[in-house]
Amino acid sequence: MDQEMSFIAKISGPPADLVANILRVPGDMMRNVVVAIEPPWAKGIFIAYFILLMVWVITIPKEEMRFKLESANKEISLRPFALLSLTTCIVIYLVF
Amino acid sequence: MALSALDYSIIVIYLVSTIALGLYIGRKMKSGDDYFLAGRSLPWWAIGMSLVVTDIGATDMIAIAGSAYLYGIVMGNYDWLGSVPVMIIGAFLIIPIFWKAKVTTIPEWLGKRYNGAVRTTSALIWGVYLSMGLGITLYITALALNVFLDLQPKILIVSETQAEFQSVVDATGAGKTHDFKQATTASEAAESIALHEPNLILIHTELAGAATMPETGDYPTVVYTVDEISEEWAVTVMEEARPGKWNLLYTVAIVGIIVGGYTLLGGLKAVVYTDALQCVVMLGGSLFVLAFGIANLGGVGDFVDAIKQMAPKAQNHFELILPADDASPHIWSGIFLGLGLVLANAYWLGNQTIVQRTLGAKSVQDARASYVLGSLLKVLIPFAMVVPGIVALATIPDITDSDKAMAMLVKEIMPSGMLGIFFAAFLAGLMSSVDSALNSSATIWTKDIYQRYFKPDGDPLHFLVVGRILTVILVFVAMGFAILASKADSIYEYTQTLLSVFQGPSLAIILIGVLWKRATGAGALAGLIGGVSFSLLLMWANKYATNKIFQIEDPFLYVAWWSFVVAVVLTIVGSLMSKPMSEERLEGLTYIRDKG
Repeated sequence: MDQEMSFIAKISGPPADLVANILRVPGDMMRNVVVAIEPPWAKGIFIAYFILLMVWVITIPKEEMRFKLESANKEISLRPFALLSLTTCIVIYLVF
Repeated sequence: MALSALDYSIIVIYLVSTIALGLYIGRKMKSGDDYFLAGRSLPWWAIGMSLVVTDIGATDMIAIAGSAYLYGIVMGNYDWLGSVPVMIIGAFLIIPIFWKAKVTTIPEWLGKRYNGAVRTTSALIWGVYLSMGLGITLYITALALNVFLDLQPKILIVSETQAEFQSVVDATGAGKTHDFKQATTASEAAESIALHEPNLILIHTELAGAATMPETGDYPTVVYTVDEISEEWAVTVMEEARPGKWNLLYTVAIVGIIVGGYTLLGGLKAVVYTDALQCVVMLGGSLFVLAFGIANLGGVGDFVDAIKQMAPKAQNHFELILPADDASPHIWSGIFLGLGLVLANAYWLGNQTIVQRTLGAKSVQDARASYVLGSLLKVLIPFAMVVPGIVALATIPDITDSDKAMAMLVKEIMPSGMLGIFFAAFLAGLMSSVDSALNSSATIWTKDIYQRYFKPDGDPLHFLVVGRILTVILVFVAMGFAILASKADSIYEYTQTLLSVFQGPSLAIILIGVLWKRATGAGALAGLIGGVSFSLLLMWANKYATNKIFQIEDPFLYVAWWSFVVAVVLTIVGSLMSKPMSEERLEGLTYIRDKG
């Protein structure tokens, strides 16, 4: 098994180098972009993602939010609960 | 870990309640639909709790706290970014479409949306992965249980340096299955021998000659030099070790039989309701540890101060965002792109083990509400799993194996009688992962392969019987895989890697299928096969190239991201090059047509 693995490693080297060199070009471009983004800006991206989702949740039609709570025999909207979990996350990202 | 009679009582009550609940639920089972989808009768609250507890296995309880011990609150991203947003997306975008299509599996939905080839390809990928993954889950679960109960064979290495100790451990390749202890002096060695009764003692030749070195008596002992340390040497040395009092495979068999038993009889309904019980026990037990841990340190302020005083070792322990060029594997770019945009979505929207319980919801409203409840519970999870790891750092700052942080914290702070609560929580996490994987695996093999190719016109009772037979077979396959994994580490690694290979492409074809009417079967097949192939190409090139493509050791987040991108491009190109699907065929299967 070990001999087979070392044989595979031996014959894989040159083609793997070729593929790696090609793929490294877009990879390095992307890496340079993300490395240039400082943590406070990165945090802004995270929070923006949550805000975008909140906006989307607010725009979802009322019918899709409707939920019949059988135990209490009444209808409620899921929207406040969805917004609560997203808002809590935003607060957490603002604190940490 | 020494458990008292009260601890054992709590554990026994918990286990008996779980099994009894599973058996009670299973008594009215009459069809394959009852078995695989609980007869579409599940309420939102049970599904929501089940979703959360299925995501957190016993090993996660150990590994997450262990990683938090090393890296801090950044591990919370895996829930706050990795679960909450996608569960909201799932609740209102994807899950209702799956539920309304009245399917049992995701491959079945892919078959309706695209074609039979996409369904079969996806079913085979998931079927094989889940069956293998079940064995691995069983294996790592048994390992975690053995660590927790202190049942692993012990090897004492008497060596003055940490580096030498580590090189011996690495050479043996038995770091997961054996408990390695280090002694740096003769007195430490004597103490360790008396305390641990090691199965093997390895002594560096210079220390072996010390006049104060204790007699090793009946214990198998090997004296070594640094130059000797190699994998070949380790193989010979490990043969000298006395067998442990408890074999890992006994744990595999016990877990397999208990979990297999109630899953076999109760199907998805038993899985979901026992999961709901397990969710209460697991969250309650973990939050207990958190409360005791912080109280033990003097309160939240003292806890935070204790960590801040540990800078630079713990300077980022309260930072959720780490720079993209940080040495940590949890840098923000990988977390956001790989986890937040791909892996988390693939897991919560495209993993059969997760999605199956929502397909068994009694209404589409219940399916939606379950994901919303899950997102609210997920906000709490890092407080129960991640923060205790940081509390462990403040309480016991010198733990060498971070994976033991949670167990050591529990041992240190929990009063006698309360250990049972945490241990029950640990068992809850353990059983919830195994039962879900088992049920989903049986579902895919029955519905997407057996029913489709061998018995399309079988009656409902027939598929109940087949599902149960397959569950039994899968328990034995899983046990076999667990045994293989215990003998060859590479199997464990390959299975872990397998998931990151197809998660991105699987997600790509689901999302495009839901959001874009123009997507076709040919495009999806090109995206799925091309994306998986690209993942394999990336991993192969990264492993064998002289200069690695990725600069971090375990690039699974990036592999997922790039394979997703490639699968999206191939699906779009392939779709545009093929004939559009008819409007009638797509009725109810895309978001655009289904809104409102």
